[in-house]
Amino acid sequence: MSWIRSNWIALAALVALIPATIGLTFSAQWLGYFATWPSEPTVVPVNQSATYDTADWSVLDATRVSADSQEGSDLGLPEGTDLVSVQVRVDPRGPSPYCTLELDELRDDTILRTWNATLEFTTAERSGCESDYAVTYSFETQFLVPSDAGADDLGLALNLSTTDELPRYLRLYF
Amino acid sequence: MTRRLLNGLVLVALLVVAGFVIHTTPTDAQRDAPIVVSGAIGSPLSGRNIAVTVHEVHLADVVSTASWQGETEGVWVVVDASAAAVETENGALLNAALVIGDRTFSASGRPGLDTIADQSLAVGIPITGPIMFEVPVDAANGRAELRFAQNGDPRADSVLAVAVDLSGLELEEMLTASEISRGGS
Repeated sequence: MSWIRSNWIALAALVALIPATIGLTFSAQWLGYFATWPSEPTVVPVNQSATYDTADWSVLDATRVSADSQEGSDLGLPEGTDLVSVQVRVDPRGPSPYCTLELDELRDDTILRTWNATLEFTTAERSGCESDYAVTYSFETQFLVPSDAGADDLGLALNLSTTDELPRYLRLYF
Repeated sequence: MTRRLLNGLVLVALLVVAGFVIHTTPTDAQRDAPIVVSGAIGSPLSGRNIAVTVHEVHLADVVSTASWQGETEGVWVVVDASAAAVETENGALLNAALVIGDRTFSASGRPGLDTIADQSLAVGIPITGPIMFEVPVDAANGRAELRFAQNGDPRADSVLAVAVDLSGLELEEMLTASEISRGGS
């Protein structure tokens, strides 16, 4: 006990420094890692809009076409797939920000699978953010997904992010 | 006396702990080793972000596709397989290899876009088609292993491995490889 009493300052310093060292090491690695990709969602429920970066965003409409349907057959969708189309309204304040679009499959708040947008089947005039627009506009983004995507208790949501706002992003339900 | 005994015990305990840490710490090779998932022809294999099913394996002197015909002084090992991503669409089938003994053969780039090697992988939507390996005649027999990974560098990531017995395969003079298709199961 006398040894502890005579060395209590050094022991107290160890108690403080060891967790601080571990914390700093992990934070330097992990905070930088999470900051570079969309990892902090702002959830936007169906039929609602949200302000993000320098614009207001909302989903106007969403459709899903199965490869088994006549429309899917006409589009030439691969067997066992669906084409999910999401129409987004953008109200920019000044020039519209450029955005990255992905489709997330979620169970509660956990992302299970993510699809990139495809231009293969699009006929829309605009398929993504237009950085030279400074007025209200809309675009339609499409995703080719397996027919079981979003089935049962799973949900689908549009993942919209801009470089300036990372790691924050919008999770737009439709 | 008691204090010296206590110090000695603490020292021994520290040495034991240090020895345990030294002998159980993974080496660099162990830390970076790929995570291998093994299976057989016809069985679906799945890793972190790649799923592959090998349907058939053929040996041929000449292989043709819709836009290419390949002759070789060796032998073509033609693998018919399906591949898909599992979680995200940020990769391709960049690593398809045939391991025979201590030799590793990468998928041939000669067929260009008529092979699924190097093709982007979609989540849950398999791409099906051929992968060609050009190997010396003396290598095209015996046991081999097909290995698939999403990245060119598979360290600390999934590698899917399928055992193949090349000696049981008939050498075909001319093989028309299957066309690439998407979707299905």
